[in-house]
Amino acid sequence: MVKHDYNFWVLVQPSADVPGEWIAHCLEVDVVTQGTSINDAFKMAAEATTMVVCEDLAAGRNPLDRRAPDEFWAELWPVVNDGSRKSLREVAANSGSVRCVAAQLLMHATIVEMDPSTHKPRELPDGWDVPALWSKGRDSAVHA
Amino acid sequence: MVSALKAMGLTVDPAPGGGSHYRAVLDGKVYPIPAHNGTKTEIADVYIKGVCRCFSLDYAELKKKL
Repeated sequence: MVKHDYNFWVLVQPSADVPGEWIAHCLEVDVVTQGTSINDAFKMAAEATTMVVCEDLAAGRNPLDRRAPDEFWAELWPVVNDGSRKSLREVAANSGSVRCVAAQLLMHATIVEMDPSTHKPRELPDGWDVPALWSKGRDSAVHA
Repeated sequence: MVSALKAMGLTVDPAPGGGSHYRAVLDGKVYPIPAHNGTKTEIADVYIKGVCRCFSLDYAELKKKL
């Protein structure tokens, strides 16, 4: 069993071309998605990032190899350095005046070895009865 | 977006599979497609550029297919 802990930066901004939509960009894995509100955009980012991380790890790839180009990281640092720290509730309540929100997504991923005869994990991480995700027919599965 | 990506050679899951994203796949690499309004989800340009970066697709060619 191999464990990975990730801290991902996610930037959320209002869409420039789709009215009412918020764009979420997870920079470490260069995944872009969108939601109908700031909260929804962060939820979508968590789901999209989990999908990509699980798929990459199950395929033996390092998800961090997909890192976003430097130009997108350059958008993050002014927000982190010069922005004001607020709760998500405060930000969402004043979304009309928000230009950009940055937050970190914490992910704990565990790669478990699959038993090829049962298509089930050989062992499960502590505290889990059923993995959140596994892939039938593969040698390993990831849940996060 | 789903049809356009299929036309560019990607495989796309027929349904979001319990979440709010379709799974687009090319050469074993996966990228999520937002689907909170199903196939009618209006996709932002910055997303289109992101999926092009991931799969090294030509942006102009993908835009023509949308």
